[in-house]
Amino acid sequence: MSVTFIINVLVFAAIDLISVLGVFALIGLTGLFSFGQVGFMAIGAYISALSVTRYNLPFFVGVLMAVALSVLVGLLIGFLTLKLRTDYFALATFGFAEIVKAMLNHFDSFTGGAMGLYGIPVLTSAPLVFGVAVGAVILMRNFKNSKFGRDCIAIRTDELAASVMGIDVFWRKMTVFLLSAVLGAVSGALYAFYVTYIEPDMFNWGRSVELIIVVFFGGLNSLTGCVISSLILSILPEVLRFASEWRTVLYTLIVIVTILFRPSGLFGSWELSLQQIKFFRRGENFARSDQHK
Amino acid sequence: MLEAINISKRFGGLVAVDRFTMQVPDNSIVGIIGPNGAGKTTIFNMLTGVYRPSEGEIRFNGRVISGFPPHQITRLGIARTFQNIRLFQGMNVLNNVRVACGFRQQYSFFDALVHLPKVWASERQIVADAEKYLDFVGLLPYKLKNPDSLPYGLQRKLEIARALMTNPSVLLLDEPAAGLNPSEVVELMNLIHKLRKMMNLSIVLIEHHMEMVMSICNYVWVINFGKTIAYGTPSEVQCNPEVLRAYMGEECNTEMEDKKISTKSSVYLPEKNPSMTFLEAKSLNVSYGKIHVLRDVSIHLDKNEIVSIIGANGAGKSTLINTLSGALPYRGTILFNGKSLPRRASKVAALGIIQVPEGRRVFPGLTVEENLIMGGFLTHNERELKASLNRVYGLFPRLHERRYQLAGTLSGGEQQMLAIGRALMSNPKVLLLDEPSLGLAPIMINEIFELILTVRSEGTTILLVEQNAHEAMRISDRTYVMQTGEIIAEGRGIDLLNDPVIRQAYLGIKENDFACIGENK
Repeated sequence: MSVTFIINVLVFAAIDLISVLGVFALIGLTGLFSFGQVGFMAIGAYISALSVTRYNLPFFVGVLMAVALSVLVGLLIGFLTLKLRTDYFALATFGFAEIVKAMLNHFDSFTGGAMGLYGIPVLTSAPLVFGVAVGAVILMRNFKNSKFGRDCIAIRTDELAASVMGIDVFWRKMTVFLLSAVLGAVSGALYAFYVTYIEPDMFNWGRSVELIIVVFFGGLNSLTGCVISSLILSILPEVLRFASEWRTVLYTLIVIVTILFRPSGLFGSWELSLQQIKFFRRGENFARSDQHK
Repeated sequence: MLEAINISKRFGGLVAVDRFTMQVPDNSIVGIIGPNGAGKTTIFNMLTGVYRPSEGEIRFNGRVISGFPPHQITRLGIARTFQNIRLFQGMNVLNNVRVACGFRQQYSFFDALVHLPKVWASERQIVADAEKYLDFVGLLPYKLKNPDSLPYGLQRKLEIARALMTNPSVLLLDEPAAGLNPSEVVELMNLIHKLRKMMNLSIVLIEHHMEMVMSICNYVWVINFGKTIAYGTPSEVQCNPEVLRAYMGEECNTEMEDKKISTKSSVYLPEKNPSMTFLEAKSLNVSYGKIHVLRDVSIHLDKNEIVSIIGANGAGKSTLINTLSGALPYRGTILFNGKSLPRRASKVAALGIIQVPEGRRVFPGLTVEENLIMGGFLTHNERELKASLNRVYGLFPRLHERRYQLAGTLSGGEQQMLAIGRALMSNPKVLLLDEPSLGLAPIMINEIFELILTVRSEGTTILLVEQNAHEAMRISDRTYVMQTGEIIAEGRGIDLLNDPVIRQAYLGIKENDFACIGENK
């Protein structure tokens, strides 16, 4: 394995992680089951890439355009769907992602259609991706530990009780939905400028499912788990390359076994914190720090 | 001041609340009482914006608030607790309380993302506040626990602490004493008094616990079938003949209680016990993770006996029942009819040991009749099923009236009847009842206990866990007293009732503690 290969794998893992963080906030914390994340990734990838290739805008402005549009689309979709029951919400967001894909295919003179969009300059570098990923993790940690994070968990467990505690449930859901849309768009943009070629089929609903699996695998309540499982599950397929056609089978098997034997995910609601690092140093046991959460 | 003016609520054709009018003056305690299904919780739901009244108007400090969404009403200063405890399970106790004041924390989404110093300061302030309220209700030592690991009584207190955190001027409590044992009820009453004094609150409470309502409320509203049948001061309402008929089901007589204990309990004792042990548990040990919940508990039930288990919240009573029904793993032996009991809940049920779980657990999406049919899994054919259905309907005419209604739309008390009815459907040999009187109106409690006697007379052995210690001991042949996972006393109910140590410690009764109202416990 060459160094470039390893860096490549890590960059894709980090790009996925940024998008996964959005899904973590939405599904993990708030319980809003969305299949739409890949739709926002597609918007991020295409809008930023088109801004740069067709309109010669700087990379940074292109990404900003992508983020702005994903917020607008997020608002529209949110207004239409956030009052639905969770199962209908899942279906509606699934439909949204498919619509995005269909539109990319349809307006082929602009987007390149099924042939894809190529010639995107390489403007994403590994340090940039790692930097954004670390930044996103820190933002998400701050989010989870603030009143917003608590509101989300409250909404997930009992919407009625949450509203009686003074939480404006609809707007709180909207906040989280937009946050996840922005993370999806950023991740999509970084992706486009790294691979230099994008096509609608890269943004299949299967991609959304993979992101969801990551969140369940790591533990719905655990940001630490989410980060670690995102890394494991992005890198695992590469490591399993030797098994060629059995790769997918092995991958899914590992996921199924984990979910069967650790239904609350690898990490449940455990979070890594400075305090716990001190705990490890003193050699105290895991379970006690677990109870502190 | 909170005012409801002629508010009504209709669900389809059903009038749940009919032109209800109430004033809650500042700094007062108001009680709402009435039979199960009278519409009490619906009134709370309208006051807090969960339901919009079909008619009428709600005013708070002169401002019309009917039609406001719940979070706005909470922000104006009306907080509530829920009858069927609704805590946030994904968070520890401290965070549950912290959630309730998010709207008072002045920092924006972007402040939170970059974690400005003011976020940190605000969070620190809130933790201090939350700890103050937790300390107030006595939950501070549990602040890092998960709410579902707390015993029922403490969960109720956590609901109160959480509601206080919204900084209300009116606090609505939906059956705060349900599931509390007598000494905890006394504690709760002190807490409510303290609250009103220290925080200058008005409190509205729905309650079936009559001593509590009558001794702490300034005003009482009595409703039945959605209509107000009486209101006034406790002493005015207490002997109102219509209230007695609809709700208490008894005469207004202060000597009632003692008479009942001395006469009835001896009548129900079987003359001679064949001393045939039916269900026997020997040195049961159960742990939840590292917490040892049952320590060497041994109990036995003779055939056709009623045995009750009493003790404080968290003593391990429900755990014991869950163990007997096969729902929990344990160390020790359980023998049924001399054979050791299978360790799977479904197989235990197939033997005829049926549990009525705490907190009803009916299937909300099925009709009453479908729920009952679900319970009839031990019957062999249509005819037997029909007969079982008719028997249950005979015992609970109310369920017959509502047989095509979805169970989720029944009131709390009706759901309790349904849960018991469902268990009776398979003619159980042993019935394990976990707090059957929880959340029931006095008139229903009497009925439930009479019913338990009827069921026994048809040949069923009964194990009863109850907070309503007096009634439980009155109808049982033997009683076990539990404390922190151990059996600390066993005896005939009447002997235990007269044992001053037990009285003081587990029933919370000091002589002359209440000027007793003509009401059962």
